[in-house]
Amino acid sequence: MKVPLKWLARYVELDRDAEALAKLLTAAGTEVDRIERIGSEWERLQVAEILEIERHPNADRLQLATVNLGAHTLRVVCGAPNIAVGQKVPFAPIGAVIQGQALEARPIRGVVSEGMLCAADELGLSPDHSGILVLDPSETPGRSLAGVLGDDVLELAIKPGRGDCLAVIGIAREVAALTGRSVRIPPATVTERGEPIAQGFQVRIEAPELCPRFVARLVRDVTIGQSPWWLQSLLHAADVRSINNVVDVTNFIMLEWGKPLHAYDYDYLRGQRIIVRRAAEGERLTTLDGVERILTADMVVIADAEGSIGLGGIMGGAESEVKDTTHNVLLESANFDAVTMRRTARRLGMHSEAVRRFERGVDPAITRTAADHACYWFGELAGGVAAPGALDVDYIDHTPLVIDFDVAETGRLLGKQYSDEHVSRVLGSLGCEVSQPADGDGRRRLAVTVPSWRLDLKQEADLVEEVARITGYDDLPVTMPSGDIPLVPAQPLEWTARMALEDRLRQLLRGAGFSEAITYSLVSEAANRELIVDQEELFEPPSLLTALFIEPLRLANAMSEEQAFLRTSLLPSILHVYASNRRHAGGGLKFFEIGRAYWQRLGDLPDERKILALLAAGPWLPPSWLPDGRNADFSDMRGAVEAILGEADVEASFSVAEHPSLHPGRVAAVRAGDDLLGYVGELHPLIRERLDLPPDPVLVAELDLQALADRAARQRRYQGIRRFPAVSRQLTVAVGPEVAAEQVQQAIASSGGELLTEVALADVFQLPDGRRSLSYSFTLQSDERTLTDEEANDVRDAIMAALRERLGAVQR
Amino acid sequence: MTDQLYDPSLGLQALAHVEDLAALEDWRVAYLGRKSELMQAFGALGQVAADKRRETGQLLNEAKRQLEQAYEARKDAMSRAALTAQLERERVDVTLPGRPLPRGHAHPITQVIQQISDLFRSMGFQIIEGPEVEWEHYNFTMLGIPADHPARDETDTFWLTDKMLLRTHTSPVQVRSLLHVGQPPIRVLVPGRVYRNEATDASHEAVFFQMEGLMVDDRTTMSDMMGMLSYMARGVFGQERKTRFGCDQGFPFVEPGAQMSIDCGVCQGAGCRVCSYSGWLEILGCGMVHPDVLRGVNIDPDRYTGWAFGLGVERIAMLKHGIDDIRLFQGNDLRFLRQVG
Repeated sequence: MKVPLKWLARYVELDRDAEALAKLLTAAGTEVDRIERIGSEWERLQVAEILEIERHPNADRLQLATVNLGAHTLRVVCGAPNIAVGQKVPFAPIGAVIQGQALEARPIRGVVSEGMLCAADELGLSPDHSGILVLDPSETPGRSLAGVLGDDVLELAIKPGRGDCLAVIGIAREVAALTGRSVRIPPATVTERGEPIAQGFQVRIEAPELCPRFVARLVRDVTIGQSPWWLQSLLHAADVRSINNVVDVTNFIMLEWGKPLHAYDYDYLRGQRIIVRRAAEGERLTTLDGVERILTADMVVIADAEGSIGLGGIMGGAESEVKDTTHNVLLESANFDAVTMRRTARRLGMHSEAVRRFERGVDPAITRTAADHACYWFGELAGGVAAPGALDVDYIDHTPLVIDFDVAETGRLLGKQYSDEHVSRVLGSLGCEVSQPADGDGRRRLAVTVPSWRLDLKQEADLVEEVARITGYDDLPVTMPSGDIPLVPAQPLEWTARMALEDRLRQLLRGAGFSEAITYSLVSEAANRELIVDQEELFEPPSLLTALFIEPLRLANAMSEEQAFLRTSLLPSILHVYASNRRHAGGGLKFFEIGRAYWQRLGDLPDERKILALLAAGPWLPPSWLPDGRNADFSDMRGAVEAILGEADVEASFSVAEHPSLHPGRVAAVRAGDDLLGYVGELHPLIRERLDLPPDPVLVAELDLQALADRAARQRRYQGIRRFPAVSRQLTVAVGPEVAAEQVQQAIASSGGELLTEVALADVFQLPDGRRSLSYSFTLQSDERTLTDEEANDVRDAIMAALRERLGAVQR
Repeated sequence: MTDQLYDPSLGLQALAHVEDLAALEDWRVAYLGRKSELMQAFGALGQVAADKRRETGQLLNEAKRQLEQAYEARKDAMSRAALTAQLERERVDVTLPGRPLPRGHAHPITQVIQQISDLFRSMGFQIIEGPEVEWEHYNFTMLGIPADHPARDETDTFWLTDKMLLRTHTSPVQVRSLLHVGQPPIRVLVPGRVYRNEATDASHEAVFFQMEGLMVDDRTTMSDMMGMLSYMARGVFGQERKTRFGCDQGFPFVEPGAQMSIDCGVCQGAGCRVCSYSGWLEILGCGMVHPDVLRGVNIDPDRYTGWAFGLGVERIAMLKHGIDDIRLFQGNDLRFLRQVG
């Protein structure tokens, strides 16, 4: 909403400049986004008086005007036909900037012009280029033009609840309340003549739930023409296009009062009547923009005796619109149901300034007033004469809302208790009527009658805001609460445990050289597909190993195909981070992300999985002059995952697994018991090529953080330190290529007995015959005695026997 | 055996010429070994006349003491010299850079969330989460934004179905947490991702992070809200910063509604390009929880009051670090993360 200050000043005395006014309004909740300065580029422009007009010697369409600038006279070439001796007009000297260009002293058809007379468009006042702008005859020649026509325009961001502020008078009311002044509403003095409208014309509302009030006035003998420049420039400043004097008046009233109006060509209306009714399902209407609309039964149409002539509140029909030939105007000032207006406009894509006001709610008390004001201006600007009286069909209950206001609410909500007097004064300044009911029950209550235009004031809290914002929030004390710290958890405890784990893992991973990434959760349809080596459908239940096969949720109104789906896996995201960094970042790259994947569920919100994704590629250790430049491999990433499991306090196992994007021989599922926690693996070389990545192995892992947190050991208990010395034993075995290290480890753990406290794999190497050699070192310890060599050897022998029996291992 | 007395000076002289550990050992064998002249002299002590035996013994002991002392001194000096030589060989160029420990970078979004979380934890708040894919009911209706209301236009929404959407703010978690606890008091802080269907540019993202705070109690006021939010702002931006509150009527779920600004850190309040020449930077919206929102979760607004706020995490990080493009946050360029993480 744009409000020129000169316009605002018609309704309230302005005692401060635009800046100060903007600050005041903004602090009170009517935000001023910007102050536009009309005339800020008119530095050297002046008012000129035309003294003499001659014909241009070399051009029929040009004239030479001698102008008086107060101190001196100049001669200018002018092409506009409307100039006349004695007029006061805007003058731009040589060097002044007009529409972005500096005026030069160039001969025009052989005559040098010493400046230029300006039209409204050249000054940025309106799009009008029909002639030189003619100023008020009382203006003084030589006066700065900015002083005459300059203005400051407040650009206001009006919040949805404050439809009353989509009106200059509404803003004037705010200013009045904030500056302690009163609002001056100009009276509408309508000259009426001729036959009253009620003689012969009728209005009938058949759908009062959609249109509860309709006022019609008739104005005869209008002359359609251009609006005067002051009106054009007011409309232009408010971003409304000027059409003709009649339509401009309806728009002027809408901006002034916030009340949309519509003018019909009276002579087109058939059957001397207006009927407001629901549209018939499938009814067709060509609106004045020339588009044929197909209507539904929840829309409201304005009809005459023979058919619909407009879409109520939204747009008139093409045939009944005011044209150059219009002589008599039927003016509509109606109230429409807000929800109906909004639905209709959305359905038909017909948003307008009128709809914006109707859907926010329009003051039901000014329906007639606004019509009268319009009639006054029709008389002033189009020579029209109003028919006596108005037709006013009104189903609205105009009983005002009275709020029983306990003044103690200011203290309870704000922390500062305001007095009855203060509250009464503030609410009074906003147009409320405040009285103290006689039957007070001892509490300090006020009866507050809400003004008809404040549809947003419904209960006590609303009045508290009014008191606070008009008084100023700076008036409130700044305190700290005294209440008890709440003990009841506000979310499931397991989520809290998971969030704590996330914070710990961030620290751990940062210390291990992983940088945190946060990526878009919206991805393209191709994101999953391009990471699948073979397009085989997997019908397994959704898990981290199959997440790329889950059908992603699609946005119904995506902005672009690139961000049209909710991701089902963090793998595409973290690979994208790697791909986008690898060109400019030297050395190895290590990233992690803690984010959500979204797995759809039938008829419910999706399962939002909190996932930790890891990626490493290139040198594992930071670059330096030392020879540590080895590339990251599977064991590095598995080590990182083991460290995470350690931090999470989860016992997990690693086993061979399948993943559609990963090297089939280098991927392990991470499980705690039967529950899948995640996976770790190396990117399949074909995917690496597909993504145009360098040949270094790319190691990735994804872990389900909730599963990890749920599996954490609940409590750690101190077990005591074994007092007797530990004994160590070594064992090297050869096993076949089909035996996994995890199997050997499990066999050792299950056969070692209670004396075995630690097992560590010390060495692995490939034997020429295809078998593998694995060396383990054991730590043995007893709670009760120092172990003898024999006892230690017995344990080792028992382990060896188990390995031989279960896995075919041979001691080396 | 002669009566000639044993003279250690010969040995002491020879020691002066010993240059390395091997020669020193030879010397020890020659002068202090079992077959040395001195030891033999001790062995022959029995044959010395009884009246001179005591005196001779004393002399021999004195000679042995002198030789041993000289030997130890020489040995010490030689091993010290050897160690010195070894240490010299082991000299490194201490001006070479060290072997780096791995160090990753914290994301600036996480840093802001953690810092603000810590500040509110210190005031008894619980940090909680909620779903990003939400029911329209929680995102709008229960927050006083009914269907067919122009307030819905204030945020451009991504829809999944006609009922399911991507949350446009963290505020639905207010409703969820109140339903979860059932009964005040409650103090929660909700960090999380939110979505707006709007074109991205240097200051707008379709996907960004918010933090939502909510406190409901039987005696908390707007003044308390101002105190706690000012404490938070000074914790984040510095103890010397000032805060200011103004009315904001843009949030239907608070009444009265407010917004908080801090004095501009670039111009110290004098007015500059960053603060649009106002001297103040708006950092969050807040207000007293609307009585209808409380009623909606069966909390009596005549008995309890509450306040809530919501802030944009990226905006805070941009002000803290002087970042001029919001798209950098989810761009994850290491050249960016290294500077601010």
